[in-house]
Amino acid sequence: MNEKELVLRARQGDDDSFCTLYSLYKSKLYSYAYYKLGNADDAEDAVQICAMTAFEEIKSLRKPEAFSSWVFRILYCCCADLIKQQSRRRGEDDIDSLIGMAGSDFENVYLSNELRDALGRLKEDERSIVLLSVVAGLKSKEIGKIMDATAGSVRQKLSRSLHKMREYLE
Amino acid sequence: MKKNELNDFDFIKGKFEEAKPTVPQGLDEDNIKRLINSGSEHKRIKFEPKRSVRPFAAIAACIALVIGLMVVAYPFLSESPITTDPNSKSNVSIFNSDETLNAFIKSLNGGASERGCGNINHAYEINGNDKILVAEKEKVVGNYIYEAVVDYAPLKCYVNIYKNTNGKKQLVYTIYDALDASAYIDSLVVYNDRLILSTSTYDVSDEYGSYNYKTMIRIYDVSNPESPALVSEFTQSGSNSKMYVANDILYVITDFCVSDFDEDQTPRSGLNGEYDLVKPESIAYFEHITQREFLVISALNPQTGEAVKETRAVLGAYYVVYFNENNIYFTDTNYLKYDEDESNDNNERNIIRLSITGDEMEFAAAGKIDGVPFDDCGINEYGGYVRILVTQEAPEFEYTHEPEYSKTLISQGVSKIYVLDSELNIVGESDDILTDNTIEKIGFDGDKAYITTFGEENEELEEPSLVVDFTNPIAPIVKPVEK
Repeated sequence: MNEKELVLRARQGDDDSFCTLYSLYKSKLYSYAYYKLGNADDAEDAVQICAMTAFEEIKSLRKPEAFSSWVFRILYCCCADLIKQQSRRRGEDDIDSLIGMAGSDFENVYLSNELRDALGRLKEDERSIVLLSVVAGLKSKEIGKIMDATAGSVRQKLSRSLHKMREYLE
Repeated sequence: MKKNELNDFDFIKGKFEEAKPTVPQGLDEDNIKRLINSGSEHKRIKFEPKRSVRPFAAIAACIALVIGLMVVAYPFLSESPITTDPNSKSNVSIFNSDETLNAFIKSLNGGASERGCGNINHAYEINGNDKILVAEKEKVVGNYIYEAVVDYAPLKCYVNIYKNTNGKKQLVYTIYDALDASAYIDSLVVYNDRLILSTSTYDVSDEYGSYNYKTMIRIYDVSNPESPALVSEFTQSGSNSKMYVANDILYVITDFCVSDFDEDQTPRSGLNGEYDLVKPESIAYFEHITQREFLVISALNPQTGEAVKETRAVLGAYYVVYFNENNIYFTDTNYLKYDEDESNDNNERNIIRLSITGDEMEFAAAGKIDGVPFDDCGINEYGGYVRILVTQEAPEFEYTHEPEYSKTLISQGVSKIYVLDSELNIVGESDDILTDNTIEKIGFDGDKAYITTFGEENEELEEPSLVVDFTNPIAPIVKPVEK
C-alpha cells in the first residue's frame, strides 16, 4: 500500500493504516523535535502529541500528497508550544539529560552535541528552516507555508545557515 | 564566484544522518496505537488545518450584508467598535479606547502556537546606513571587545569584555550575576560610555503556563570597561528584539505573541520596575489579521534608559521591518490559514509608516501593495520615496527523480518594484520582473538596486543579474547587468 492509500484509509479512521503511515515518518519527526527542542523527553512528548493530533485531524487533510508538510506543520506548532514551557525550566537542564538524548553511543553524543552547537549559532527561524529542510526533507515552498515566509526568503536563509553551520563544523 | 549550496546541504545532511538519535520506545507504533485507542487526553495544538473557501465566502457575504445594514442604520447606532482615531491626521487604523482594543484582541487567535515569535529582521542597504548603529552579538570599541555569549547545556548567558593588547585578547570582566538565569541575550550595542544589553526573559503567573515574554534593556556604565556598573533596566513586552541607535536615541523593537492563556493580552513597557500598558491610542493595527501578535517600539535615552517618546505598537505586523533615522516601516503578516491547496493565496499586503521627528513618534501613513514584500532587504527609502520589491508569483518547476534528477522550469517568477510617496500612495512601479529562479537578494544603493537570483542548481550567487535604475525615481527601469 502506498502513502496516498494509507492517508486515504487513515482519513476513514483506520488506525492500522495511520500507524503504518506514522512509522514512515517516526524517525524524521523525532529527529526534528530532538534537535529543535534539544531535549529527548520533550522531543518524545512533542512527537506523541503530534501523532495523536494528526490522527484526530487527518479527516481535514484533503490532499493526501500534502501529508508530509501537514504533519510537520503540526509538529512545528507542538514544538513552538513546548519551547515556551521549556523556557520555564531553563537552568534545570544538565549534561546528564544531554547524554541521555542520544542514547549510550558516545560518538553519537559527541556528534549530536556538535550539531547542537552549530545550530545554536543560528537564529530561531534559521534553525527551523534547516531542520525542516535537512531533517524533514521539505521544499522551500512548503517550509514557507509553515513559517509564513516566501520560498525565496526560506532558500536565502537556508543557504546562509547551512554555510554558517558548515564553517563551524569543519 | 559561486558557492555550492548543494555541497553544504549534503555535508550538513550527512552530519545529521550520522548523529541520528535513537527513537525511544515510547514512540513505537504499538504505543502510539495504544494512545490513540485509549482516547487519552493530550494537549490541544492549534495548527489551523485547511478550511474550505466557500464557508468563508458565505460568511463574508453575511458580514457584507450586516455592514450594509449598519451603514444604513449608522445614525441610530452607537459608535462602531473599531474606528480610526478621529484625532489622527493619518489614515492608519489606531485604537481609540481600551474597549475597542480588547474587543479586537478577543476576536483574534492566540499567536504563539501558530507560528511562534520570530527574530525581528531588518532590511539593510548595500553600503549600510552610517546614521544608524545596529546592535549585534559582538562589538569592538577601541581596545575593548564586548561579546554576548549564550552557552547551552546548561544554559548560561553572559557578556565577556576583552581587552586587546598588542593583538592578544585578554578577558577583563564577565557580566553574569546581573543577568537572570532564564534570560537570553539577543544583542548588545556600545554607545558613548554605555553598554546596552537586550535580553529576553518571561513571567510565569500560574501553574498552567500563563507566561509573558519580555525584553529587558540593561544599560551599563562602561566608562571603565573593566568595571561596568548597572545604570538602569527598561522592560518591554515581547522577545527576539531588534535594537539600534539613531540620532542619539535608542530604539527597541520586540515581537510580542500572545496566547489565550497569557495574562497580558496587550503590551507593556517601563523603566526600573514600572511596567505600564501601552495606551490603545498608541497601537496601530492591520485589518484582516488573524493572530494576536504585536511589534512593540520604544525610544529611549541611551544614557539613562528613560523613554523619550511614547511607546508604540503595531498589531499584526510581520517580523521584518525597515528602519532609518526618520521612519520605521511595517508590513502585515497577512497570515492566512494553513492551506495545502494554496487556494487562499492572497498577495495584497499593507504597509504602515511610523514617523520619527523631534520628540514625536507618530503613525504617519498606511498603504497597500500587490505582492509579498521580499524579506530582509526588499524595502528601502531614498530621496523621499519608498521602494519595495514584491513577489507576485514564484517560479514553478517540475522535478523528476527517475532515472536521474532533473528540474524543468514550468513558469517564470514574477516580481515587481513599487515606488511609494511619503503618504504611501503608489506613485510608480517597474515592469514585471521575470526570473528563472527565486530572487535571492536585492541590494539598494542610492538610485540603483541590484537583484540576484538563485542559480540553476539553487546555489547562492554572488553576482547580481539585474540592475534597477531609479534615475527617474517614479519610473524604475529594470535591465540585465552588463557583464
